Amino acid sequence: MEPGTETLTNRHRRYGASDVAVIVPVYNEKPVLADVLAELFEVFDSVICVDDASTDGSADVGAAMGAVVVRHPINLGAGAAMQTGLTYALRHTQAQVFVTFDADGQHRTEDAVALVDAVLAGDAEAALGSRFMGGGHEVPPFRRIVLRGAVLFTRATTGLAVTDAHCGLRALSRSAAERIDIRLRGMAHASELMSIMARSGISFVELPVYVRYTSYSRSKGQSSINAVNVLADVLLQGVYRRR
Amino acid sequence: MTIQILLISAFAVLALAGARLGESPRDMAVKRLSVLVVFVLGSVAVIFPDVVTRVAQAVGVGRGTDLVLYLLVVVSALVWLGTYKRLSRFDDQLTQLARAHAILAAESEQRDTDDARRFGDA
Repeated sequence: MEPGTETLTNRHRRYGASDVAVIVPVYNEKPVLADVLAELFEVFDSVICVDDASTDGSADVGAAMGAVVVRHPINLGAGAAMQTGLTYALRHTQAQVFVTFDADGQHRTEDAVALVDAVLAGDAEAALGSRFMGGGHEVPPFRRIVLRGAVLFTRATTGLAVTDAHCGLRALSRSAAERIDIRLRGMAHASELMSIMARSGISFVELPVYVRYTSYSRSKGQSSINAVNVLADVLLQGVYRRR
Repeated sequence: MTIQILLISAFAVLALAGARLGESPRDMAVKRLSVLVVFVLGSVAVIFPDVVTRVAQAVGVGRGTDLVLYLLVVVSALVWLGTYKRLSRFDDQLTQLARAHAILAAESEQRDTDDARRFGDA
């Protein structure tokens, strides 16, 4: 039983388009996308799907559900999709807070709400979800070891005291989003975001979130060996991809 | 021992210096001059093999051909790094271009949706 399950219809607060825009990068998530978007639309008025050139018609599902769909003409990667979403949202919405939210059903809307509230309350410019703050989690054991390694690496290279460096559920204030410019296209974008936050002095808080590792998301998810690519991208960017 | 220190430090210095070269006219010129230097050194090695042998012995390497091989490895590695840097730049430009396209298309789509809403569907 997941901790903290409360039905969303109990929440009376809605977040209008001038408050919050939710960015959902999408790559071939047709089986679950409609449900994910439906859950978000119970609370958020403004949802932007960034379709990373899906081949299964995910983009049309997003449009049919009433989300704004920004379509990459070619597949660029999760990092690029997130940045496209932020760039579009900054320019075309009045939102003061932007949420990054996975399309595969792993993230819970109520956790997004908690992160948004923290930023709106002025606790920090960014609220980051963490799977390792004692809220219980379903993270598979080997993946957990790799993620802890990522946390140690992030702490060592950026000095930021995070407990989870790679959770895709975040809320960013407009001022924070304006200072973010992600260049890494793949999964390493999360590490790059940490570096940018340290460099730009973006304040943040971490809140516990519960990530659902369903059999669907596990079958689609990246293998832990991708950590090699993340490390390579981060190290090479540090030396060879400086602006 | 001398040759190892020389090779490793030369590689480290050149790799880090190369990482900082951009696309400005000055940096492009530096890169091109470096290529020229490598060609000149290579030509010297071919035309004056004794020179290579003497340099090799001076740094503690047995044969001239061994020294040439070591230098070739260092040059190759630097070329790989340079190529990676250039490909990364293309990658970034491609991403920016694709992003601009995606956003333009979305803006156009949103305008069409707004028009349909305002003026009613046909």
